[in-house]
Amino acid sequence: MTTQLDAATQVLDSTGSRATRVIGVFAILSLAVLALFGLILSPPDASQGEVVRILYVHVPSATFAYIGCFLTTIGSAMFLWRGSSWWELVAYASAEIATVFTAIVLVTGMIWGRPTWGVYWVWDARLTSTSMLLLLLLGYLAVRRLPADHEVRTKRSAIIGLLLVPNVIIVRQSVQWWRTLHQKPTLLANGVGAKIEGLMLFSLFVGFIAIGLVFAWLLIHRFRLAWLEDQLDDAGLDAAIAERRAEGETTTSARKYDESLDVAIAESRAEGDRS
Amino acid sequence: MSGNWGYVIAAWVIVFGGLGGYSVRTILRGRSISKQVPPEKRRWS
Repeated sequence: MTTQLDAATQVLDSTGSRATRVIGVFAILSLAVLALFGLILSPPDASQGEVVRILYVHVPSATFAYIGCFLTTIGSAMFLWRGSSWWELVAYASAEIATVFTAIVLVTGMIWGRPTWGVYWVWDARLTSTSMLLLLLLGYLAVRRLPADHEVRTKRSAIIGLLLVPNVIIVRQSVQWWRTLHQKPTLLANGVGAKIEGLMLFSLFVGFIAIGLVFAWLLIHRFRLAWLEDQLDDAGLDAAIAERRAEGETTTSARKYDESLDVAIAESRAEGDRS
Repeated sequence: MSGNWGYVIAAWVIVFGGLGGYSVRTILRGRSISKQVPPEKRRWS
């Protein structure tokens, strides 16, 4: 009984709910299916060999990093336009998740590049613009966490948030606009269908579902965490205001006491002079 | 190009490890901060 009560209390003291638990279970199951198809059942590529298996996690991670950036820009715009703190928290939560996904994309891309291109890194348009995107996201988070007034830092970070979608467009189009070592789009190649099929296409599809579920699960939890952080900030501010008021009242009553003491002293001196 | 399983495993470990680590950190921070906020301000619980 006590254990059940403890467990119930622990559930309440968290950012979880029935919805997140369902999404979490599906995310874990789909990650297991992704590992099965991506690492075991799908065949090696004719030209890339086994290295193609990296793309089943790299490409979905990139897609959801872009989606995170879109959410941040939309949330930032809504916050600046309507002053909606709900949208500001969506922007903040999705920016942090997009940062994690973009870092994963860069690292897995480098690992894929070594056996494919012979180098971990080249300053081509896709890699350079993706690292610029990561820097922009880190800048957003740094400004959002500055030890400054809440309104000032949320407005400044929202302005940085507006720059994310234009940067994503540059990243996405970089392989079309410039000559790059990075390959051109495989799935949406000039709108004429995919250059990938069979079990390889299915594995990539499972990758999108699994990484998408993880993204959704993380977004809900991170949004609730940001909400709690805001509530805690507000509570801290209320406590500081109450403390300052109490200090003010103490000072006023002390000043009144000093004044009444001065009057009493003056009166007793006057009586002494008369006598 | 037939080998290269080391690169594949490294990439998958980074994805699963990165997302897993970030998820655990988010959950633990949520639990820690939840205890300091009254239940009526947690609309999902």
